[in-house]
Amino acid sequence: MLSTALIRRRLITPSFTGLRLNRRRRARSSLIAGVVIFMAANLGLGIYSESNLRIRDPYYGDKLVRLIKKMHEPNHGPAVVMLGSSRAGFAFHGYRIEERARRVGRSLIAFNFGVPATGPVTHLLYLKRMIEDGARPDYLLIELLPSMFVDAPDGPREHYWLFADRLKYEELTVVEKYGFDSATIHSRWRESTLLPWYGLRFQLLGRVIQSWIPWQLRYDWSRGTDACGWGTPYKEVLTEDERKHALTKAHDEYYPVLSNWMPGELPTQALHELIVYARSTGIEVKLILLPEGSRFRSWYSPAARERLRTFVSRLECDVIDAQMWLEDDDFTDDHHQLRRGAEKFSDRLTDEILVPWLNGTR
Amino acid sequence: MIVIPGWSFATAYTEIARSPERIETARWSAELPYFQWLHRQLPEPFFHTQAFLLFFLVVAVAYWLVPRKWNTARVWLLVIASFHFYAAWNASLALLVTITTLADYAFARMIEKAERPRLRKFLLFSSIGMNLGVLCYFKYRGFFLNELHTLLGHFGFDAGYRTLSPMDILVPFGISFYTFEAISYTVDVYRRKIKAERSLPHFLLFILFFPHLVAGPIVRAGDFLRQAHRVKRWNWLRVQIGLQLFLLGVFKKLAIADRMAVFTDGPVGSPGPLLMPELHNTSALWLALLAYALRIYCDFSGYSDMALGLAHMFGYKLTQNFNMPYLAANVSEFWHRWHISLSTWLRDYVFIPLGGSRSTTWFTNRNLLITMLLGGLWHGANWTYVLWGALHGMLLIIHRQFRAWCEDKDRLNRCLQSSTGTALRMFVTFASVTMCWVFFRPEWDKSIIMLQRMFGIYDGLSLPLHNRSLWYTVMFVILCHAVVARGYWQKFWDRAPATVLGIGYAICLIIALVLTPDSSKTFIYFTF
Repeated sequence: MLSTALIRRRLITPSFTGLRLNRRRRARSSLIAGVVIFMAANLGLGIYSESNLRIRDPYYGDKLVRLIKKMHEPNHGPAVVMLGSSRAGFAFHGYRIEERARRVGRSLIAFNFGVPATGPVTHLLYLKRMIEDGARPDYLLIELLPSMFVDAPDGPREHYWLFADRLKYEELTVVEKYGFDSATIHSRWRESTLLPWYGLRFQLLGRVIQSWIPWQLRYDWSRGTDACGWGTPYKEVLTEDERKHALTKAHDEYYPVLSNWMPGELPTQALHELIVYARSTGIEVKLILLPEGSRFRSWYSPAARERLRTFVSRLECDVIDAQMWLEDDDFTDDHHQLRRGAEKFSDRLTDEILVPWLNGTR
Repeated sequence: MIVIPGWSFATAYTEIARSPERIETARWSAELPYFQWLHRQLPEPFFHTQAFLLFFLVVAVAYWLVPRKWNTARVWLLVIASFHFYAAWNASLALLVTITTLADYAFARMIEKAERPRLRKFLLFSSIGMNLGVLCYFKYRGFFLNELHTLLGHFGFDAGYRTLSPMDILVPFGISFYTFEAISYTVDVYRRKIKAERSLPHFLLFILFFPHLVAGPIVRAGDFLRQAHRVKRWNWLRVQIGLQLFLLGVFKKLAIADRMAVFTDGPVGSPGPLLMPELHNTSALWLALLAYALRIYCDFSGYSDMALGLAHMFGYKLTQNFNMPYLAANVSEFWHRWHISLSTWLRDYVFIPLGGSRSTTWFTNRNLLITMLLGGLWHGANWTYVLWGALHGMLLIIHRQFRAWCEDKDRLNRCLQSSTGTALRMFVTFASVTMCWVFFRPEWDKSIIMLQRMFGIYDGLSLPLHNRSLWYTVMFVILCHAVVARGYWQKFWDRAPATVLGIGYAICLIIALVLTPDSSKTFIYFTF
């Protein structure tokens, strides 16, 4: 009876109306499906990125993978990790250091954790993450990059590069403590978690199709490093023009900061916390002022140099002053090292600092 | 008489140019607190921002909550929302648009009532004069005064005023679009093609309706007002079409146009080939021009798609503005596919009144050239845009002459109509149109430098991004055109299950979000 009625109704109703109703139902379902799938995709990536730092902060995540791999190699010695900026990334040649130390009978793991545009706040977060992720170094060498100790008008200079989309939720309070703008970091973190396909797009693109994003927005620097984390310089030799251009760029970026250099309170506090934290976990720490070319060094005014000297002397930690270890030709732009610069620096660092340090004689 | 030494004006200009946000802040401090608050909520009149989407959601929910029988209340709601949309960008200019709209409403009513032809004509010209006067004052004042200044200077006279810089002139968003809509309305009433609108809110909505207010499409009164009077029912199918169009627009804007802008304008802080052609090598300039062709198409058609989509969600169907223009096999066809609402407007209100193609070849060609010159000037108050229009006029004339020449050559015709011939014609049309884009900018000297360097072998900087992503995007756009042109998309859309469509929408939006560059660019056509 029911089926007959249904058939009759189907026969009576013009097919056009039925088609229209069907289409409307399909339209509603497709829209609902679209919204649900879009929200699910965002929720999924948001949760995944919070636990997987290779998505959220590939600078850190990619280096960590290499470090853990190194630590799992058989017959290794103590792990010496260098935390620093891109300068350190190009300077600390892990393989060479390991090789040279082995020649004098010292086995060690030398790992370069240099990441571009980082300072004490980022280094503090990175050390905490390393320990949490089970990659605790035995010896820690931390780069003192003077330009990162200057306060910008709106917080520490690091906040120009360390965005909240690279941070985990619990890390927001740490950066807030060191002067990062609370509203900005919370809104950016929220965006990267609630709408991660947008908020983390450069991280994601950097993993899949790097050539689609300008180099200023690439987060895949750590993927191009060797197994010891050393960032192989792009060029072996520079022409005069290239060097001049690189030097002009460095001058424009650093001269205004260095000519009137003055240490900021918050970055200094972050460094202090980093040292205390490392020591509390049983890690031995040394600080290092990395090599700079003669022109770069001349950008510090006498007063600024004096302030830097005072600042270094007040740090309650051993500081290696390597600023004058290299010649001008060993750099691309008087502060990022070429391969031969990295080799010279690493050799001297191994001989004069690392081996004695590991042997307990320094 | 204002006399300012050249150097001090240059300094002031440089300072102003470096601090447009300071001018904005100063301007907003003079507005009423309510509008200041509104501006903070909706700082930019762009459809793909979070603030706008929230604004749209609020308006759409309120609109559909108003009972069907209160259609006029719904129309009022859209009028108020549209006014707020514009006022959030500039309250004073929103008032100006509203006042001129009210004046057009009154003029049209009077034209309809007037019996004497002379009075009707007088009223028509008053309305057109008012609209063109406002347009000229805001958009062309600087151009005309600066040209007069230069001309007088050539003959050794002092103009008695200083030249105006771009910062001295605030061009209301969309002024060229709504002026043309208003003119077409009064002309149609004068020609008795349509009746003057009696309902004030409906007429206000015709001009102020926010989806088409700032960058078109240029809607016609007869088409729009009929829809405005029709009672709208909630329809999922329309909402789906609307959202789909909106999504398509977002994809074109974020994933293609703004990405191509990185090739043309460079990333933040490093000017690209189109901004600094003198620094870039020859191949970079050619590739940047290709990127610009894609950018301008996806930017403008993306905006139009978003506008159409938004209007659909209120139950309005706006004029289709683009129909795969780069598939055109000749320039005439290109103008039937590119900015359709403008080209049909120019045809109906300039070309045909001038005599159209009814007279001799000479007059037809003259009419074509005048129409395209005006079309060029419509885009921007600069000689480069006039030249751009003239080049298109010349191309149309050449095509017309060539077609006439081919008429009795059967073999050649067959060759041209074959698939290879069609592909060749499409390529030639695309190349010609793309070359014309060199002049589609206000800086004359940059256009010349760009052309010089394109047709020589010059060394210099390469593209700001690896060209792989440019080629992939070009291939993707060609593929999409092929899929739509062959009807595969329509077939898929008709038959695909709801879930598949839903997945498609989600993926499309996700890809658009992932490919969004660092800083979103303004819509190119917002400045016209």
